[in-house]
Amino acid sequence: MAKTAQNSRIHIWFVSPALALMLLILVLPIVIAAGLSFTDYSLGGSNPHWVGLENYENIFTRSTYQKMFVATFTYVGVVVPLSVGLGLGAALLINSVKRFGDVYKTIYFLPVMAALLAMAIVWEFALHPTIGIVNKTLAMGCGTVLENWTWYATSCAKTFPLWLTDRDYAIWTVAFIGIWQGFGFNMVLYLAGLTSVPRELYHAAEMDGAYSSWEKFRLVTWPMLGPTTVFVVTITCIRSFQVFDTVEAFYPQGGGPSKSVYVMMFAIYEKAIQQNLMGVGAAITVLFLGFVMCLTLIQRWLVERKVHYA
Amino acid sequence: MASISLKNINKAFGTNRVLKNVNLDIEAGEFLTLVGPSGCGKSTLLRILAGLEAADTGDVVIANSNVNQTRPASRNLAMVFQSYALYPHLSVLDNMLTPLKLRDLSWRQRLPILGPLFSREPYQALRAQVLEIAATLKIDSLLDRKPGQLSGGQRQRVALGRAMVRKPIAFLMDEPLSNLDAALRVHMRAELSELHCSLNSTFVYVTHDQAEAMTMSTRMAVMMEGHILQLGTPDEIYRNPNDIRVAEFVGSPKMNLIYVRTDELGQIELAGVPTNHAVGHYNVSRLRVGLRPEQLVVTSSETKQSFPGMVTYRENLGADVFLHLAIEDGSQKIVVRAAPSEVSGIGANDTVYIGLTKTTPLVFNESGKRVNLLPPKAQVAKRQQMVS
Repeated sequence: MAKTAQNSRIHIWFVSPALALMLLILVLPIVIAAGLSFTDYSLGGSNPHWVGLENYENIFTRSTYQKMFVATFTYVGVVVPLSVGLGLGAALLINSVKRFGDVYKTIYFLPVMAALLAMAIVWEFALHPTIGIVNKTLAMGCGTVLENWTWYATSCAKTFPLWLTDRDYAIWTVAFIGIWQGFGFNMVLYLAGLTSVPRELYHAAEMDGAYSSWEKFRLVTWPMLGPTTVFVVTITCIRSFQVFDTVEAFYPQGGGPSKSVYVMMFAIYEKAIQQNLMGVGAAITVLFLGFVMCLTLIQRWLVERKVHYA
Repeated sequence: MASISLKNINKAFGTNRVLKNVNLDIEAGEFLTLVGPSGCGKSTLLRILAGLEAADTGDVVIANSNVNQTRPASRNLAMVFQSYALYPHLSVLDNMLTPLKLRDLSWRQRLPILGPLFSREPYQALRAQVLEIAATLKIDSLLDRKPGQLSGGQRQRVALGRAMVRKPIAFLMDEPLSNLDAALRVHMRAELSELHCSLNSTFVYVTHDQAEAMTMSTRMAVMMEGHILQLGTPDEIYRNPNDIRVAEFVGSPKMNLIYVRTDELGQIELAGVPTNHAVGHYNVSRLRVGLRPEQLVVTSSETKQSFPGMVTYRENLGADVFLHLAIEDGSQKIVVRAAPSEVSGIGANDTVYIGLTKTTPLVFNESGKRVNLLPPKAQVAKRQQMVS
């Protein structure tokens, strides 16, 4: 019996449907994209030519793509630490209040639930250089003590920043909106993480002499939130790399002032869909997948090494 | 060494009054056990003593000074928790160093990497203290491991070690053995008792297991529904409980509580058989007599002093046999302890005769309080009075 079971090939029939679907739906598109990235294929065009590494060479040499990397990494570098930090801070604060916790939770979670495309209109309106509420409010501060701040004084003398259409401010403004939108999600994840911290550990810390909240945080809360933090940071990184809707809503005509907000997702969309340069689009996609894959691998490594203490 | 007093402690969680005016004096160097069923307030009392919980009213006095406003660590007590509460990300060494670091080092010296680098000497001194304790607890080979890599018994020792490093005036233990398996628990009982002797320090121990309380403590306090019902040595509590709840809680198997009647002289009739014991007030309804399983004996034949019972279940524990019996036509159930040789032929559905040993039974009234038996002289006097 054992021999027939080992020799029979029936197990292949059990595995093959799932395997085939997996290859077809998950792996094949990536392989095709990787293949296309070595060609100058365009949708509907005939005879795609093999161009080798030319697409990749362009990405790493042309100034447009350099701007793409600068914009993307600036966005990720600003949004990830701030939205994780704010999420943790909000979660700790909400966890410490006895009443109204649910109200705060709902309010902080509102931007996550709202469609960003719709909220973009509100932000565009608020940040309008002349009629926007932001600059009007700032202008009210002119002539007061605030003018001691050099930036404020110069802005009063000339004009306040144009925010979304200002080359120096655009990426920071978009990043700010990204934080505003994303930290509520991190807060919910951290709140879930906080519920799993054993109460007895805080009591042990108290008995051991950890009096200040900071000492308790360092001794108990932060280490116990390790797994949550790894997850939150990874997911926020991936979400930040994928930022697209804000950029598309504010700058449908290509990447903001001087392409300062030309993030990767938007570049893929512009090249592959708008300009029908599938080869270049595919090359950026492969790079993007590479970054995300790196993040995931780092996460796995961290999870297994550092933050699970058992 | 210092004595600890809890004075008029009241505590309520919402409308639920957990502690009702509890008074307790703990002498220096004793092993005091707070024992009671779950929800009786014993853990809350311990946490109030530790400072983790504030009492609504009442005072905690340690070494003659009121510590109501003192933070837990400054009370110089150490606590061992039920779940051990070891820091899972720190090694055993760091776990045991933590209380010392927090007490003895300034915040600058405690900085993550710079601290140990610039103040090597204090760190080495603390390390030496930890190593000394680890050696006495025989955990010095585990110092580099994380708590997750230890067995239950080893974690227990580390938790004890973390409590011991600060050389506190008293150890507070909140059911520290309840997460261990049965064999290890019995072993740790002996070890904790030894530790208590060698440390010569005060232990306050909370448990729901009367066997732990009986075996380890110098004195035990039986708590129920927010009151301390009785405080005394284990022997006193076992032989002389002042409340039916204490009598029932302490001892395994439970004490037999048999409803009895009295005759006109107050003489107690146990299952229709008159005994030599009498109470002062006769015609008391719902009087109960408490008899431990070992205070009853199985007799082979009917005598004047014995009453019949039917065996419902025979529980063989090797050294002892517990016979579960139905008496008075099955209206009451009792357990009798016997040596296996005495009851070798007896099984379920057999009828046996039960007599009393020479010990004095305990009598409880309707509300569960102890009723004193009349001394034999008074009984005789009363009888003569009736006759004349």
